[in-house]
Amino acid sequence: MRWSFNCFLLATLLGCDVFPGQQLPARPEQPEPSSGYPFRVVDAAGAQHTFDSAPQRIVSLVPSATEALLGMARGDRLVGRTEFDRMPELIGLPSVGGGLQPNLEILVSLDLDLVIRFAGDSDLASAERMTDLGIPHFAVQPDGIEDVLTIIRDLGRITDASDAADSMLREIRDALDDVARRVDGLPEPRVVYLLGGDPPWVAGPGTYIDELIGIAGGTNVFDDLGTLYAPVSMEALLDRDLDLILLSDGLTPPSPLAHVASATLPASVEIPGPGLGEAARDIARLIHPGAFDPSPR
Amino acid sequence: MKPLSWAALLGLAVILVFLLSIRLGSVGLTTGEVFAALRGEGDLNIQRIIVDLRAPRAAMAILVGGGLSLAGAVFQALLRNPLAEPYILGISGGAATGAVLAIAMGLTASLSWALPAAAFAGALLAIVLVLRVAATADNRVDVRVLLLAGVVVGAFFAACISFVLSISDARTVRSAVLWMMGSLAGSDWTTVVMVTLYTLPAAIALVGLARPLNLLAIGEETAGYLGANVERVKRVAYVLASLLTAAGVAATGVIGFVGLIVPHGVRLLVGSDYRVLLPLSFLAGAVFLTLADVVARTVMSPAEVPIGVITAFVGVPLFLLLLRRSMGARHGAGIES
Repeated sequence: MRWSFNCFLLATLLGCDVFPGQQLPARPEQPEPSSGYPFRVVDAAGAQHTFDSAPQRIVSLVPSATEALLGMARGDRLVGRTEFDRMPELIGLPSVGGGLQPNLEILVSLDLDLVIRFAGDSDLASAERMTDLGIPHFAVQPDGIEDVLTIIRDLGRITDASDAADSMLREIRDALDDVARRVDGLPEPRVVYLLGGDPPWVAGPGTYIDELIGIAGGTNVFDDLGTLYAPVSMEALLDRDLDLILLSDGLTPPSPLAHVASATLPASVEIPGPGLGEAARDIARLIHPGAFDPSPR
Repeated sequence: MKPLSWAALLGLAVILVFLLSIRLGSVGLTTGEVFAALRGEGDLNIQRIIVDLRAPRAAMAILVGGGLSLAGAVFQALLRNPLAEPYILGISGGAATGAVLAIAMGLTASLSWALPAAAFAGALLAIVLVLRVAATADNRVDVRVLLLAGVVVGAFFAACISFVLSISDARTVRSAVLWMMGSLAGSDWTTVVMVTLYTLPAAIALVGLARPLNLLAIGEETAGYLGANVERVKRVAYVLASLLTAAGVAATGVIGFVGLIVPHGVRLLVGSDYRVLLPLSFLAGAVFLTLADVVARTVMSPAEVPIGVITAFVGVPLFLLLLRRSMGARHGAGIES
């Protein structure tokens, strides 16, 4: 009886040893001859970077950047993923934990040439530790549409995929232009995009969501929000005289707003990346169904 | 078991858990690789993992776990209240307010030391505030007032945090909440050295106060008759235990349960003589938090479980078991399982 808790400790110790860990990978030797280098660029945290060649072993902590790299056929450079990257191309890679506060030990063990991380101070500690540990890291901040386009352009230059990045940018711009043309001159309904939470969070000016609503021919009723994203009260929502509620995937409209028309958007809209054009179309179809339905009835 | 045997056992356990802590982690390494890295040989990345990530983290767990546990034992003696723990006098609230303000004002973006410095400053403010309130006109400290003042000051700081967070953006809220959950993940050698500079002198001085604390436990008047300088002991013990807590909280955020459960657990094993209880609490707290951190780091790897979850999940059942056992022994009714 006296030793029962020591036995408990012992069991804990033994248990630890059988937890699976990732093995250190062998490092491939692969020099990269190419033009466009050295490439100098300033990241979203204001840090100056010089790339003498394309990094071969990359982990992206930012879904937007991950999608961009996959879209420009640079998925083979990704050697790790976050817990939230569930796409079949990446699911077999070792996970480094969340995008914020990644597991530094695994990052070190992956012997990386580049980590793409969120800018801003929400995870400054990880950035500093990466610097200490000799892991190069590039900060991105996908707030507005232009930010996302910059990320795609920079990642294209960094990974020697400028052509793929440029055609991706062209596709996005064309899609956005197409959407804007279709809704041109139509009345602009008052729209809110609810991101979940109680009270619900909404997007304000400076966010790609606010910009997409504008392009899709709507008015974001919270275009006066002081910050990028914030929770707002049910009263404020009622007061804004809504025409349409756009709901994040999996949400149901709050009961006080049951009288307002609502529609759900696919989850892909919430990763601002190569899918921005498609997201604009998704939103515009809900705001102006007629503009996308020329089929004869 | 005799106190000395316990001390030897726990001292050995500290060394063992330190080794265990650098042996285990998200990346699977062999014992050979770990020892090679400690000698500065082998793969450079493995050396980084062992020397720059796991070792400072294990050292921090020992310092903070020991410090919180010792501070808890001292507060329990000082306030003559079994519910006392290191944060009971508003230190966590003060530290968190400092940290949240630093995050909200964006100071952490440019100055890496701004967050621990602000947290430490907040903790010091709480300490001074509580002591000023509790010091009566004739310059005595009434421990009942100290307790009340601490709890109220803590509540005030909690309100400050709620207010700042309610007017902050999503990023600030996320960073602040992560900080308040407490984690040893940020430990590097610089912070370990800083925390050592506060923890070791304060811990040694507090252990030196064990005899007067024993007398205080009987009662202030009796302690006075028996030759203790009661006012001085109370004040010094309060300030030192608070500094110990402040250093830990500034480096690792708010880690709960250690300072409450470990001293009581040790008390149940070796009795209430503070000359034994204080050093053993430090050792037991060090072992406990280091083990908790190993579990926090490995059980859901690569993600980390907040260490406060582990200290509660492991500590509370363990503590309740000890408590039941001691009750059984006391009533002679023997609760067998």
